[in-house]
Amino acid sequence: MIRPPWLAQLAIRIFVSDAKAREGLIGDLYEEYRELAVRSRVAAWRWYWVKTIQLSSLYGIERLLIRKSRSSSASTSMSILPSKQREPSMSTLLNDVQYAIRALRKQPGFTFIVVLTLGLGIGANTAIFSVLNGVLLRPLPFEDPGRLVVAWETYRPREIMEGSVSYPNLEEWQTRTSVFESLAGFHPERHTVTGMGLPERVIAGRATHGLFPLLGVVPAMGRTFLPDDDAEGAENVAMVSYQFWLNHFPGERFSGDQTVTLDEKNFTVVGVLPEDFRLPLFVADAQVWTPAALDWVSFYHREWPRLIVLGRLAQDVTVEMAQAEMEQVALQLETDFPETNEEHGANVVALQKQVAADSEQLLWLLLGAVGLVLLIACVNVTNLLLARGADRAREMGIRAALGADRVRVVRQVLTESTILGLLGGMLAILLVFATIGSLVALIPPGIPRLDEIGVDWRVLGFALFVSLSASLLVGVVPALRGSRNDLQSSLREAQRSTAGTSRQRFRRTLVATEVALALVLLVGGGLLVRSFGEMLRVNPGFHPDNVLTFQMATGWSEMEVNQRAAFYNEVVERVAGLPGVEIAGGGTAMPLRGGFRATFARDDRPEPERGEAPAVRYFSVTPTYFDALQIPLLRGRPFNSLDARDAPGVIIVNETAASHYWPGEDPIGKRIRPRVDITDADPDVFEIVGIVGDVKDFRLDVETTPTIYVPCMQQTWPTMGFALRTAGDPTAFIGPVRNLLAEMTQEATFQFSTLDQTLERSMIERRFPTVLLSLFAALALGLAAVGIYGLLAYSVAQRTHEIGVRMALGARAPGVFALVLKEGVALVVVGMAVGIGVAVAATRVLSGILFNVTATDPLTFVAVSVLLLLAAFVACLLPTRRATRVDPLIALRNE
Amino acid sequence: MGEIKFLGEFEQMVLLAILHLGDGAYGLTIRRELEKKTGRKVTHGAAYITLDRLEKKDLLSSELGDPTPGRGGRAKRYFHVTPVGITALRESRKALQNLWGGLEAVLEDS
Repeated sequence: MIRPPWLAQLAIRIFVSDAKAREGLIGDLYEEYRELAVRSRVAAWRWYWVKTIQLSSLYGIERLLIRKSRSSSASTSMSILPSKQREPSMSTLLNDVQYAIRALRKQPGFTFIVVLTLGLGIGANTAIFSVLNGVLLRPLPFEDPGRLVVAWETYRPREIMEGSVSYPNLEEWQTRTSVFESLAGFHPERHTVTGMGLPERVIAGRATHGLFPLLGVVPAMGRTFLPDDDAEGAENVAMVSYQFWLNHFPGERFSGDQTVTLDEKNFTVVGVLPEDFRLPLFVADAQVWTPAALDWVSFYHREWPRLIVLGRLAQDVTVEMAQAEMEQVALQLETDFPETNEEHGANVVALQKQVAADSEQLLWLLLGAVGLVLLIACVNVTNLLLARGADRAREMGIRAALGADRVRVVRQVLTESTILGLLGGMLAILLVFATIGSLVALIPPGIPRLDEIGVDWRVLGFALFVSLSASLLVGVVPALRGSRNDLQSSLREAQRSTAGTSRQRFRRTLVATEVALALVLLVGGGLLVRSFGEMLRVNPGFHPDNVLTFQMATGWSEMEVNQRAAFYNEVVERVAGLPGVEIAGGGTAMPLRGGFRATFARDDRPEPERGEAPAVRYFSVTPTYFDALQIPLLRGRPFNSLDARDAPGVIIVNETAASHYWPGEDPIGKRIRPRVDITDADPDVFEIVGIVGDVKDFRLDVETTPTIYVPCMQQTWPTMGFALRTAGDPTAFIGPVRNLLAEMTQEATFQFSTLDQTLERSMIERRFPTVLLSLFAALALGLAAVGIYGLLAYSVAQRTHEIGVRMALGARAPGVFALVLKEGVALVVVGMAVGIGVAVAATRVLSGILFNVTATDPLTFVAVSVLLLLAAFVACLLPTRRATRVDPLIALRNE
Repeated sequence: MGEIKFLGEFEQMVLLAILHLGDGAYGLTIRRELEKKTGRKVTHGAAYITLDRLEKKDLLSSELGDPTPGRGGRAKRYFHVTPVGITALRESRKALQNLWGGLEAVLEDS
């Protein structure tokens, strides 16, 4: 059912007082909303909110105006009555509000600055919170998600805490535990879908039959998996995502006997998952699900742990209780199955926590940083309010003299700060709506549940809470100070001020605090920028300029190695023949795109124990792969066309593999048996013929994995990537290459990108915190500069008289300049000293995400200190120059 | 009721739109009618506040119809122009006609 947001409806109900008008208005909006929602729900939702804000404020103002005109007409006729009788106490608040609005409207500049400052601060906080809310706080979209856990197998000798589980072990867990209502397992995989237009590589999940009932998922159509689907020799069945159903069976009625071809095998589609189903743990984008029985023999092998196990806790069982029982069961399994389970334990984690795992720390960190920005903004606003309070001391003094009690004055000031805070909050929400899209675009895809980020009641509540807290924070000191006025001193002080009153001292402390906080943020931002710079300096191991790459997916899993290799070689040759292409090469994956994993056994050593075999990344490449990517050959020889299927197996390793697995030995000439597919019982023997330079696997800031390369004529796979080095803009070659490929085959799909784009994408994870923290730091710096400027400008204005006297007594401009500048610089230096101390302690939380930079990097500390000093100096300059231009005659004439 | 003040341009448009719509005049249709006939965008705020004001001045009356399911169970608020409203429109038209009279040569579309 399409319903307008209830919160917005509530707002209209509050602001529109007339029952008839309200009924008609809400109905009209509902009607229009439904019309719009047919086209786009999001747009309709946004539209409804905009209309609500417009109409609520209009009706709100209308109401205020009517009240005001009523009360003002009342006061003219009955002005002789004492105020207490004229105003019933209930309307005092309204009165305060009206008075505050009037006062704020009288100073639009002041109001604008304050609302903008608070709006930016609250907005930045709300934006970060909305991300945190979507990723961490919102309950997962499953039935009773609080009872869902992930159960990992641990392996003590290698400190593995999140190991996958074999199917037989899962069965043991099921029978031997009582803490779970049910347990089920799944694992991510990929399939190539054929027979439905172009072949397509899709993310898929393999699930035991209990998974969907465990999550409480009811299929949109058909059924979920049954116990029989998991049994040996079961029919091939599959479930598909809602999106996959819409895309591949458009307009069809679900019949239960439609089929889909995965890796050249036919599967009957028995069910379609609901539209909003997403399991955000490695398989968030899974389009196809198959049952565990798909390759029964290996799947049911205790030696092959590959399931991620989910559990639903029984009623009233906590994660700790489950952990305790699972540890007992793990001990039993160690004695019962020592071969496979020795040294293996168990680790139970709440699913919500597991999903958030890696991003949790980062997001709280960002919220902390942006909280500091808000704190600085609040300090600035407090300072502005204090300065304004000083200017209004006379007004307050007079009010007090006429009988306003202290509480009334405090309330008046707090009402003002609350209105400012709420206006800031409104601006913040508008800012969040405007920027949330670009914020989400900046977030690296590794962070889960991105599609759940948005503005919901929790985010609005947070914005309201922060606005009110900020209001209180900025209002309380000015309120107390304002109420402390006594008439005599305030009247006197308003006439003439000198520096050194307690008010000034307090304001200076505030600005110094601000400088300290800004320094902490600047150091944090600076460290991340330095890390980013360090990363850019890393040699990726290949030369990315002017290289177009494309990944090819085929359904040719059963095809002869020779045939596939011949096709790949033909692609390389024909692409290289295009005018403007200098060289082309192919490999199972392109740099920074990961690739297959494999293990190997050394021919000169005994067969390694299970789990102890050396792990490597594995590529099958054409002879020109290294030249096309300009990966240097360090020793030995490259592949050539003689390294064919029937020739002796040859292999090239990278530098890391050489030093890691053959320390102090020469790997060239050594023979190994690489094993990519675990079911491969008798892998071929390959002789190492060369060593190439390291190439980064995924990210520039992560060490390269040991890697082996085999010639594609000797081992090929149904997926292959190609790279072509071009003269000029590589994207210009997409069209010609696509045409060429279309001539060669209709049975494959190709994804294009340039190596520069790939490199760019590999940095996104580091870019996200770097950009945000630098942004916050810049905001903090700006706010601190404004704070310093405001304080000094005010101080100079207050001291005009004093400066005038000094100049009349012979002080020269440079002397006055130094006098004022000293005041500012002293402040900044004290603030920086404190800030450096705090930063040394605080930036330690960053150490996990720094790269090649220590948390106490002296260069960063010096650089940001200089930056802060410069900004502070600029902020001091204007008021200082004004001080030197004081004309003693004019200053003293004010006497 | 005494002396009637002249109607504002937008007020006149709203009243005329309601007359055009007859029995089907409620917030949504009035706004659409205005947008259609004038070719201008009419904001919600302007429309609703004006309708309320005109009712307060007794130029309009309104009553709630039956609750409608397509509106979340809310009733439509139907507007009618009162006799006072009709008089006011006539006055406005007369005043405008007097002022327009004889200026055809200057103001006629070419």
